[in-house]
Amino acid sequence: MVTIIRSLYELQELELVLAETRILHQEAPNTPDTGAVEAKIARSRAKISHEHLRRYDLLRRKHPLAVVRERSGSCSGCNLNVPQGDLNRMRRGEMDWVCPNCARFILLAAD
Amino acid sequence: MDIKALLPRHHVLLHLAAAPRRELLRQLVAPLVEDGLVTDQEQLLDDLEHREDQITTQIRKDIALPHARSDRIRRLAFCVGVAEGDGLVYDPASGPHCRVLFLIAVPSLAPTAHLTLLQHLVHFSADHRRVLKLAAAATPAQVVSALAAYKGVK
Repeated sequence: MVTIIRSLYELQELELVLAETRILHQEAPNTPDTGAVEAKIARSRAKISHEHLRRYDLLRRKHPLAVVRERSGSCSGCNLNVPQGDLNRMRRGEMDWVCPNCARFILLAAD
Repeated sequence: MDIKALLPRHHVLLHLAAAPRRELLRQLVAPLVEDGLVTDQEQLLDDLEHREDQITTQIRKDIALPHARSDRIRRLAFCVGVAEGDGLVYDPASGPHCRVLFLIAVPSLAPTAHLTLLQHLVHFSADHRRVLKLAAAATPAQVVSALAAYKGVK
């Protein structure tokens, strides 16, 4: 699961860079070529399963972030505690890395 | 946008001299390190350079907005650098006349916290007269006032 979440996190990072670029250069006379970033996004998407991408895109439409970090047992998306039992099950691979409160993908902190 | 809350006067650096990009960034980051907002300066510099390599943050020949998300930042932080003379090279492809640098340090835990500030600064920079006024500021207080006076697009 950690590989999937990391891939989704990287995809989200690239999409944020693209969003920043659109803000930065909206009034600039010469817009830089965003082709390289868009190509990276396409390559990143190609590596992720259809099921996870569909869920990711749904979350991105609903929230600014689809993948958030866990910090001290809390989800940094909704700021609510994730039960310790769920965190343990996620770490053992018995449960998807998804916040049980807000349903965002959650990147667990390294121990 | 409450610029004054984000930009204490000691986060404004005047008379920046030409230097390699990493050195410019190091000077801009220094006040954040002194304030304890950045826990690992070299890691943040790497993150800023990585972001710059993805796509330039210089939006016109005289303005650049370097920024990066990093694990090494405690909270959203902002610095302004004003170059001496006619400006300096930031992104070589954009020429040697970069006069104002707005550096934004974004904590990884809140990766979109800076978008409103970015939007505000881009709108501020859209009027060349405002940029000239900023570049001509003689004191950090004048830079803060010039930025704080702009209330943004309604």
